[in-house]
Amino acid sequence: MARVAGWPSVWGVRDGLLNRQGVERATVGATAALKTHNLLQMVVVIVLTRGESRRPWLELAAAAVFAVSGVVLLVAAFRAQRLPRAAVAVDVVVAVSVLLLAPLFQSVDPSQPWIDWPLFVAFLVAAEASACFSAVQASAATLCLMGSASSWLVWGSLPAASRQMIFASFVPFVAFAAVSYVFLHYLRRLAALADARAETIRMLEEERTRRVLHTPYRLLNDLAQMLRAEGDREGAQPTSQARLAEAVASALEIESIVRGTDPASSNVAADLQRLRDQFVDLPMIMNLEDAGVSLPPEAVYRIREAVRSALQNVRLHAQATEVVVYASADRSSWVVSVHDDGRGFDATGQRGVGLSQLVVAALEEIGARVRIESTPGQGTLIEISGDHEWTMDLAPASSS
Amino acid sequence: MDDGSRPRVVVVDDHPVIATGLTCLVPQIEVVASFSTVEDFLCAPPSPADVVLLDLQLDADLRAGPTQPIMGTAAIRRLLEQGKGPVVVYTAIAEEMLLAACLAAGAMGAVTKNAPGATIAEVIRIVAQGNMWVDPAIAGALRRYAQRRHAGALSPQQANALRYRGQGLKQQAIADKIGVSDPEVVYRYLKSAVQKIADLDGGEATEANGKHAGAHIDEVAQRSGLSSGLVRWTDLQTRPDRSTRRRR
Repeated sequence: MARVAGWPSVWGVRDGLLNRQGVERATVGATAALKTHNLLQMVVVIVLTRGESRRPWLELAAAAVFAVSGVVLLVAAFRAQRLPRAAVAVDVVVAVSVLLLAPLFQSVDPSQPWIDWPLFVAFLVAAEASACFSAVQASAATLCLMGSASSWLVWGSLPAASRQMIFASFVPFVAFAAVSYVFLHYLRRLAALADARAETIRMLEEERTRRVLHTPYRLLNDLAQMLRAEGDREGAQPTSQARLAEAVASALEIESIVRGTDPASSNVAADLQRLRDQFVDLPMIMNLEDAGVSLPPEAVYRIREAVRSALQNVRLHAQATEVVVYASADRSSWVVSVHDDGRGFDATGQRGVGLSQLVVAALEEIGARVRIESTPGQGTLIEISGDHEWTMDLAPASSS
Repeated sequence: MDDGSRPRVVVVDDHPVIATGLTCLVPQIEVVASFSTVEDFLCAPPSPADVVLLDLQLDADLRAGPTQPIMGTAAIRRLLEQGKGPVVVYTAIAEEMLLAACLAAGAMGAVTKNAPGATIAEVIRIVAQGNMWVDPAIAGALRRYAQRRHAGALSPQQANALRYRGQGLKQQAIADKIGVSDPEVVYRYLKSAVQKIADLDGGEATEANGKHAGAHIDEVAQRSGLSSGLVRWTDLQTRPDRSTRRRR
């Protein structure tokens, strides 16, 4: 689902309303607003006209049933995140019943046509039916509501102004129902098209990534085979062995990306061990504590890439006689470091040297902290640390 | 050793070429004598040495012989008992727990044969000054070992010194991290950490329960398959006289 920047993060709206589910959520939201407005208006009318009703107990009972039906509908709609048909059907039946009973309790005051609350609350019920029923069902529901409203004309001894108002109410019944039906079906169709296009674009992008990565993957594989053959023929030097291991590791990583699998495990120590073969040309000590720390593979991948980047930098620039890769953890945090005793640099003047800003930013995205300490002639310490959820107890490693 | 002069080193190695090679590889040291076995060294007239560089395996030419030469931790203990030292282990075996066992037996440093000349020179210089050299790999192994078997036994400063050494930091950087003004204190923390871990193992040992000092270190080293016969528990059972200094 597309994330829309700037949208409020209420009820998942931050994820956008640009799909079918979003249209249903928006419908529920609009219905909730209109229903609340309807019920409040009903309460106001009943309070203002108290004493004028022919049968106050009947009016209150009708209003209470209608209110309960409305609340049940909204609760069910919020839970299902769409208008539930059963609850809407109940609401239609309740509205029809209220309209049929209205002549028995409604006061007759030609100067106050707005007091006919059973009529105006039924417009929204017609719209609800159109929002979730088929065209035939929605039309039937609207006709039922209109027919029930006509009961006033049959049984009520209404003045001319009230009769005109009831006739006039047929227009909003039809209008609410028709506009809701057409507008929502249009939105649903639009959202379905958007969903279909998003899926198509995703599949095309995946296919494109596969094709783009296929060539370097094949080339790296070829390169690795050539290096291996050359090494077998001439006796492999540490540097060429390291480059070969690096090429093979890169090929494997590209393969994992193409296949959509994780390019790393969730064990930091085990993953860092895999770098050993790629840097056999460096005087490297690996002090890795296999303490059962489990991090998300994405985090482990970024840590490993940062360490690899640091080691590549040591290889190119540091002229070190000793490089130590260190990993340790306690119950709440972990630390990974790379220390070399090489040339060092002025860390105050050249922030980021040794570990590109891109790598640092990738680490900070997973909540890790990066500290770089270096002095010219005194070597360099790059320390990456973070907090973690402890997933296993400290267990003795299998060796040492 | 006088300040500014090269440390004088006696090499005990069953391959004589090593002594010759060291002279070329590490010009910062002076190889004053070399011997093929510890027995030869002990029988020879005293050499004015600051450090004894001891190969851990000394049986290259004698494997078929009727008697096994003294070697491993037994060689370290014998040298210390005879007042020869301080001892730096110089070995092709890069098994950190085996090297840790050598420190527990009384060696003041351990360096592998694939270490660059500058590192060998630094180790010898530091040991000749009376300090203990703890390699980062050994520091890491000892820290892991201490956490599993003796959690909380080390003082915070000892544990931190061991941790930062395990990260690869040097003396001054560790001093800055743990907040001590005198960098020499770092060596004392490292040395006391090693000795405390060795002593803790010794504390569990009695003849009656069949355990012995350094038993676990020995066990780990044995299990690695690299050190069979090189670590002898009796060498770890009692503290050697670590104050043994060079004889001129």
